[in-house]
Amino acid sequence: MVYVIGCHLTDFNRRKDGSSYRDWVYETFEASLAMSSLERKDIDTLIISTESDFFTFQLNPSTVIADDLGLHKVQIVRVEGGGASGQLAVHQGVKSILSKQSQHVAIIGFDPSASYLPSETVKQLYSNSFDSLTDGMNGVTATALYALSIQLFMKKTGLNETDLANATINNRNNALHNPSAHLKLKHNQQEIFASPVISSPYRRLHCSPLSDGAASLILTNKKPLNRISAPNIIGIGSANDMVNLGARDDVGEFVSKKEAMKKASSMAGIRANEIGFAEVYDAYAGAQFQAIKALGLSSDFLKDFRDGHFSLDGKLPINISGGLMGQGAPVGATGVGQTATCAMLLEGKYHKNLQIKNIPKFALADTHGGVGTLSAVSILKSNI
Amino acid sequence: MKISKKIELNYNISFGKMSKWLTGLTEGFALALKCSLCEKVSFPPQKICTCGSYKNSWIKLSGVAEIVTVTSGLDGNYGLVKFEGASTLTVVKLNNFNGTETFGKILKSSNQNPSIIITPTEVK
Repeated sequence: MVYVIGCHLTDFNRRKDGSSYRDWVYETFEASLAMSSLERKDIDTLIISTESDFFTFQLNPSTVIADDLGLHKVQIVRVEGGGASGQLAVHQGVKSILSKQSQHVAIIGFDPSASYLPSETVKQLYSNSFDSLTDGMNGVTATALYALSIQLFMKKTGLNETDLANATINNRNNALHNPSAHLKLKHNQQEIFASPVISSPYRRLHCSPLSDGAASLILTNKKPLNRISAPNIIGIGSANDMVNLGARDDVGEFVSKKEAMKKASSMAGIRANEIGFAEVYDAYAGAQFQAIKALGLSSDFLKDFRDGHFSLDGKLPINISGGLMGQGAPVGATGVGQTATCAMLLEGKYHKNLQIKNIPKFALADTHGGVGTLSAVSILKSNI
Repeated sequence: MKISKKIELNYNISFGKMSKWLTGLTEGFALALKCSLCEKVSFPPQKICTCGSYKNSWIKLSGVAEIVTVTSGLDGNYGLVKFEGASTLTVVKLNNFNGTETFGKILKSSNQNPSIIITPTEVK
């Protein structure tokens, strides 16, 4: 079994305090280690998730981080899979424990996605996070590709611009109660409809921000006797779809997510409708709906959304952290942070105003890279 | 303390089998790969077909495409289009799109930036 005995997220925001990503990594690791009751010398494996050396100005960052954290003679792995990097790092940690290669694993995700490079440079780099021969040459942005995908999804499902606005309002409202969130904003529909169109139907306020920040987990292979409430990770799964949108069987559907969920559910031995809480990858307002449908979390996602079932007091709360749209997205940290959020919530240790009173049995963390190109999901189980 | 660092990356990129396709774009025509087994035509070309076959041959498309959907805004005009003769859809940049066109014709792109760009037209 795999137990989550330490978890932490730093603030996600645009840092203006002169701190470095190496400070954030130190901060989050120390916090997780303290929560785990382990000592530094107990950690035998370090797994690092960071999307791009362009952001950090540091090649081979894992070894530098290990030195900063005082971890020596440990296994070190760096995991990268675009936006899915953090969740894939979680998977690597789980696999390492289940294969008995490791006993105590530290997983740290980070990226200085906001403050190190000008936003125009970041946008240019992201054009190359799709197929650099085709989309990269065209200069098409991530927002434009997501927009093409959601347009077909909207035509097919009846999702409309009011739903996009309401999803934005909900997630940013949740972020108001999350002290570490990047965009703690109270929006109304008029503000959203008045914000500039980046790539129709997506307006500026429908987009998640790129953030600075780090998140961490400590996993272990034995039930901690001093904390029997520590949750388990019981299912992991990942899958891909074609990078070029036009080559996909269905441009509007996140098929990779469906496949990833199938694998994770099978490993966990549960059905998607048993999930009681989910953090899903809402890089854009519409992506949240594409995710919910693909993951099989609802048989009628639009009705459930409009009826308020995905809100904090609904039957299946989703993105109560604020999601990427509210909490923010330091790319390598995102998936680690989503899993950490699930773990805290399942143990009743989440932020006071966001903690679900009736703790669900199962939670889901869902992450992807590209436009649902590489999806990775993890299922956690409560021990309360 | 903060310091500014600037590095310039002058890539000299080779494209191997895809060179033919990219050269086509700079000359204003659309080269696609046709699967020898299932006859699926992919544009952009897929070296291994979704049917699993790696046997294929280059074919030249007419370069005319039907626009399926378009996104417009501060990030520019981009569309998903279906090129005549292709089995797949293609993401393209739309040159001078006024919002009403339903077709387009592939445009010659720069030698230094071979891209799939179409000029939208009202009729085929």
